[in-house]
Amino acid sequence: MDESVQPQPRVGTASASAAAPYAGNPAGTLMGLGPEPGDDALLARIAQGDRQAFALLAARHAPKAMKLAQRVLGNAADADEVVQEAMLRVWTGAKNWIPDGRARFSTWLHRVVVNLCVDRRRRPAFAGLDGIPEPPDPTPSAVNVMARQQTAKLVSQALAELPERQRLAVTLCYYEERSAADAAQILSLSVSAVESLLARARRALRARLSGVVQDTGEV
Amino acid sequence: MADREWSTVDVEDIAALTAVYGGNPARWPADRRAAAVRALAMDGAAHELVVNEARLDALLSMVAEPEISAARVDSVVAGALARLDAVTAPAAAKAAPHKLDTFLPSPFDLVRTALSWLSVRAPQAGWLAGATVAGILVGVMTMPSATLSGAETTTAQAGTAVETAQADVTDMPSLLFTSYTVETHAR
Repeated sequence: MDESVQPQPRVGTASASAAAPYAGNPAGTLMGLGPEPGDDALLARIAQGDRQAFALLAARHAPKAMKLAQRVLGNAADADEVVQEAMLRVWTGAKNWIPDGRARFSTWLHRVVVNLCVDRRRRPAFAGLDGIPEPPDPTPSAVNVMARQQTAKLVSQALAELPERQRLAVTLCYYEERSAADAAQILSLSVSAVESLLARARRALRARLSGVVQDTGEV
Repeated sequence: MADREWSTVDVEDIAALTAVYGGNPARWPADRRAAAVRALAMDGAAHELVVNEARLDALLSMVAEPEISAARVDSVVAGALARLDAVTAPAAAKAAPHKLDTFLPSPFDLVRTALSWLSVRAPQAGWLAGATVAGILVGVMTMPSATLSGAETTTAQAGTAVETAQADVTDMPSLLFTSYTVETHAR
């Protein structure tokens, strides 16, 4: 799947409103580039200082980047900041982009996002509101929902306890549905190294979640 | 794992594959998927392996997907747009090369940096250095003017000027500065 030319889900609305102040054109279009300009074309315009092209590209890629950042950071506010910072790097680095067809913009962007997330996780943590668990629903009919939420919490915790690179590999390959080759590019590793991280992560997760077996019968 | 032909796979291959990618064939690498799926249909042990790994996949899938609303995306994009002016615009960076003098520190900056460095590394030395600099500055500003006149005088007149200058100088900073001036005039 070539993400560079695929419109992202729910991006249409965001693209329309984010790009609107800069458009002399209908939202989502760019003078001379047609209704769905590719990433390379937009990057060429951004390199010339075109804000509308920047808004379109940012709105196109922000949702996936935000999802990735939130999975890695576990915090929506931090994820938004990281993606915003990554987008600014797109603005300053667009002139260095070489559209040779080998590298996909989304892979490059996700690499930047992952690196920024890793940097942010190494800072002293601030316990924001996102870290406070929601109060449980007291109604008896919610027992099953609560049990499922409890299991999901245990899984999240097990994921969070993985070593950083294992967690990144799992996030990219299992949750972001990236291939091992893509994940290897994003993490600046070989494919076999990514496969090794995934295998170790699965072993660790299985060991940590062994207690869930009796409760759910899932493992 | 990736350096061989995958026309056929056995149970060990399936075990290695699922240990990395789990039990969902959609996640398996394309070069191995077809042969692995064929093996599943024929090998009960391989099928059992996949089912076992799929249970862990099911647990992992219980983690809620982050919700990314259109409003959040708008906010991030708008925030990035608002910050563009604070970063170097690509076109502007090419059009207007930086002036060298923008990056050269002023003498004041050098003094300030030196003082701050001293005050951090050796607080007492910082105070002493600051007091010395202040004293020199005061001395320069109150330096006697006698040595500045009479540049074209004769040798005898120059000797007079020397005497006058030496007589006028009473403080240490002035002595430091006037001796050089007197010698210049004496020549």
